[in-house]
Amino acid sequence: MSLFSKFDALADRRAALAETGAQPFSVVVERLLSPTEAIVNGKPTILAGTNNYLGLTFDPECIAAARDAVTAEGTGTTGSRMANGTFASHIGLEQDIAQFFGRRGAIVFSTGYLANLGILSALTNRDDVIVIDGDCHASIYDGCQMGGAEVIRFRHNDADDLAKRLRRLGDRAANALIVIEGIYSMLGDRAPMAEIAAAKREYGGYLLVDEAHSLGVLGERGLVEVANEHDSVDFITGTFSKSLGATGGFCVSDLPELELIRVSSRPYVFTASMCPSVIASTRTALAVLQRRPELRDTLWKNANRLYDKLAALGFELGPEPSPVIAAMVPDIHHALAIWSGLLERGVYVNLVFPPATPNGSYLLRCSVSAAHTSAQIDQICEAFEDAERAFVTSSAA
Amino acid sequence: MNSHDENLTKLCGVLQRNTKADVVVGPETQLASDLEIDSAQLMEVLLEVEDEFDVSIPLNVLPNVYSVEDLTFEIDKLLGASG
Repeated sequence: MSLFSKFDALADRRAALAETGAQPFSVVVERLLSPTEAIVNGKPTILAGTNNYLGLTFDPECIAAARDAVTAEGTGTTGSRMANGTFASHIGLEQDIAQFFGRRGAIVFSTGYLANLGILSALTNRDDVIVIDGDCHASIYDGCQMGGAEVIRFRHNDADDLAKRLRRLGDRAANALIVIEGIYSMLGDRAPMAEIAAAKREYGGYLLVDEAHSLGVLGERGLVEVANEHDSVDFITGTFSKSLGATGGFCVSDLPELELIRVSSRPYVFTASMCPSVIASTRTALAVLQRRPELRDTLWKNANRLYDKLAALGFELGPEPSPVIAAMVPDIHHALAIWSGLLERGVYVNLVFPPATPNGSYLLRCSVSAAHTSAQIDQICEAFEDAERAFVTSSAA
Repeated sequence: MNSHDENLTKLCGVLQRNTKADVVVGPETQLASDLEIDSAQLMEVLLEVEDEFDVSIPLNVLPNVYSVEDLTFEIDKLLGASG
């Protein structure tokens, strides 16, 4: 048994995948052409799997702000805020994000993953219990594990199952931390916010909502806003890397203890802080998000168009239209064939395998952007139709 | 309060109806390999086990749970079962 024996099974799976000719985890974006198009394998390819919901990665205002910041403040902070000091722009971003959410305080992190890791690991320890939706993101699972709290899963989007588990906790429910997401990253379905909040009100506890995929997508601020549940939610986390087109993460809260969490959070204390150009483009993108609601309208028009067309083609999709649209196929051969067929036809989507997927399904996961044109949405659908037809034909042969 | 043996019998019943493997589920049955279900399916089966016993099994205990007997001991603890 060597140090690397643990990778044997993974190496076998990678070798088997390579034999099929598909290289889903080795895609190189050779040159970006726009928020929704790039050169991949030497040819123009529509990007339909990059979570660039508002299409702001090439926004001229955001680029200008980043350029000005890198000129004025340099390329990086070269260390953590605890060690190297806080830049004024870090505080500016925290004030912007707290004000945007109407919350008393905010902490920004270097990535969205670190935001969940940093908050959950600092907020809880082995004396605590966390109750999480079973389909929560890996960053939530990892944050729970790092803190060492007792972790209990409830059935995905099942508020009755959550209530059952809170009941089983008895007196401990009053201090339990419930964790859900606004929009779930794999199937694009949203949490039943009102029902979850009702369970929390009945049994007590604290509620954290990760708005990574719903910020700027559901209303301006995410699910908590559109469900009108501001007062039911104690913590909101999220990322700047999707609708805001940059990188970084955040947590906002009205609780004064947030500042104690900041100095207790190892993923905050021991990581290099957000660099000035990223802070600048994020702050500008946040302003654009609020100033241009038409981006969200276009995003949803595109999302509905893609969802309806793929459904009409017979693909099994998630339960509701959203900018995350996943076509579920039953086996790996089918998934690989469609994914490769899409790329050959100039469309890039995400290929997702179990155990990262719900119910052991294989997903061809699309994410729609406000920057997609209607013609691009139609091209994506035509590529799905052609790739599926080619797979059926080859399977029958 | 159920005894350990009663919990074991009940657990074997839940697992038996969730495996397609040609195996008689017993205390030594290995959850990860003998039931011929993948890790995601096993997590779904655990939800059914939790409902059967009306307990919530913390994820933290699972790394040390290999066999049906191991899982029974964890359920015993949650239920305060007698030996």
